[in-house]
Amino acid sequence: MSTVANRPDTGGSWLGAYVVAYLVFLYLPVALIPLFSFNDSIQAAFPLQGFTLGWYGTLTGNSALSGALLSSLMVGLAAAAGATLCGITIAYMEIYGRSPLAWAISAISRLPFLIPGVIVGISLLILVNLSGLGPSRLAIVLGHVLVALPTTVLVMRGRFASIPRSMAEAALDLGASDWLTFRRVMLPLSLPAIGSAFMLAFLTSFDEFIVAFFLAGTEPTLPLYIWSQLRFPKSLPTVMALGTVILTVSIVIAGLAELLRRRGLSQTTSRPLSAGSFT
Amino acid sequence: MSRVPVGIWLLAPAVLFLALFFVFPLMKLVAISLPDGSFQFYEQIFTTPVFLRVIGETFRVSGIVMLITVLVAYPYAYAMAQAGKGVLLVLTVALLIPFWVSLLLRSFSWIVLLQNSGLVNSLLLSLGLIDKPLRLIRTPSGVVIGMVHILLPYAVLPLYTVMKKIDLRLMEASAICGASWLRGFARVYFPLSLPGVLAACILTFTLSLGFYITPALLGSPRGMMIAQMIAGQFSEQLNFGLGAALAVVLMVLTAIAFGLFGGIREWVRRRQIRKEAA
Repeated sequence: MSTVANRPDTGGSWLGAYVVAYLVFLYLPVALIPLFSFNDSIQAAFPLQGFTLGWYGTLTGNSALSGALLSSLMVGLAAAAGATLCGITIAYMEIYGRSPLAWAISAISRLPFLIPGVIVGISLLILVNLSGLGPSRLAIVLGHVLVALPTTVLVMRGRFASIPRSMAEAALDLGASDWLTFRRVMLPLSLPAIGSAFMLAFLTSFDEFIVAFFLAGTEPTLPLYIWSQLRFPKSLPTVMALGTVILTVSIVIAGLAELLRRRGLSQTTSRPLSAGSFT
Repeated sequence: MSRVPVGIWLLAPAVLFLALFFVFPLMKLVAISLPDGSFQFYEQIFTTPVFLRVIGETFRVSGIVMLITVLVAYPYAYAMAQAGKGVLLVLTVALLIPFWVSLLLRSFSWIVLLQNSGLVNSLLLSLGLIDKPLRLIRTPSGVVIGMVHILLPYAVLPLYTVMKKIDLRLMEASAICGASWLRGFARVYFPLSLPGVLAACILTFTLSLGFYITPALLGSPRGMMIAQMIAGQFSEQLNFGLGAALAVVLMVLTAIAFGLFGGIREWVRRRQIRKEAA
């Protein structure tokens, strides 16, 4: 069987060359950050001036940097917890509850993906100023839960939709209450997806700039710290070193999240009892 | 199918959160843009050349970014749809990694690449393609390059989702009937991939409208986009009413663009179903 892809006249080699060019474009700016973090020069320009680990040394003992890192970690963990909890309940109710309310809430919860971050930031700024809370870490957490919510809802929806309905029905037939079914059957089955949603939400918050820009009080997050440093040419190599660390950690976390999500999905698809086989 | 009953109270925390921290602040924003029910800020926006120019520039840049992103993404998505399992995994992972690399750092990296003494200009100079460095940063072209780079995955994924469902035997059939690959592509493959193209257009265009970091780093003050204008009204001018009105304008324009594209996509889908039935 010959497929269209195998025919020479489809330009397979052209397509291969295109993919390579595409990947060069995609990775050029990404690769530049680690490259200059090891470059023994204060300027981020070619030709490279030799190898150094010195810029990584400048990352330690910097209290503004460690404060920003602590802020980002706290905000990220709290926002990820909030977004994951809301994501689980919204997705669960949408897939299993089938109420129009759950459907509407799910649609609203995905809106922050399309609404520009500037608008999420300023509308929350107005709220925290009105309520007397003021710009603070807590205010950033509220904003980041909103920004991360579309991701957690989508990941959890995908998971709940792939769990055979018969699982929950069996539990209910055997006398488990709604709450027991949710807690003892559905939650354990979706644990990998919950982990995945949490990590992606954390990354979203960790990288978020504009919402934090409006809602930060006296404790900036890491992206805000980086933004403030971009103005000083002197601190660029340090920013590159910091960027390399963030980049590595982000890629590892994102990779783990994707692995977890896939494992969670393949677990049930490989089960002999596929969705709806008893209904 | 029997209903799996679940307590509606499970939704309570999410409902409360969204109502308090999302819906209410947005309503408050609209209220602030209409002090005492007067449309003064909206009148100001639609009669002041500066605001009109910023809105126009936002649409112009978003349109260009959308066209280039979808054009660049299309062959990559096509390659993904044609690839075997192993290659597909590599292409997917390669596509998604930059997605999780800080937007701020990626935009900044483009400054290093595109500045007068940067890699792109030195390469073009040494190849003799240009005799003096091109001005790429603090121009609209810099903004477009940076935005395309960030939006590519958002275009590739919907394109791929549609393309992988296209039955390749249709292309074989067109080849057997004597059509060249190009003709087969233009008459069979491309029309079938159109829903994916439109989905990619919707995403890239609507997301482009609200960009802040990339135009702020790579653009010039003259080429300001609306998100920067809104941020400026809140953080520098402290004119909250005008800023809120600009934000409402941006949301309404985003919704109109989303609805318009969505309508076109629905129309294409219906036409395809009718064709298949015929």
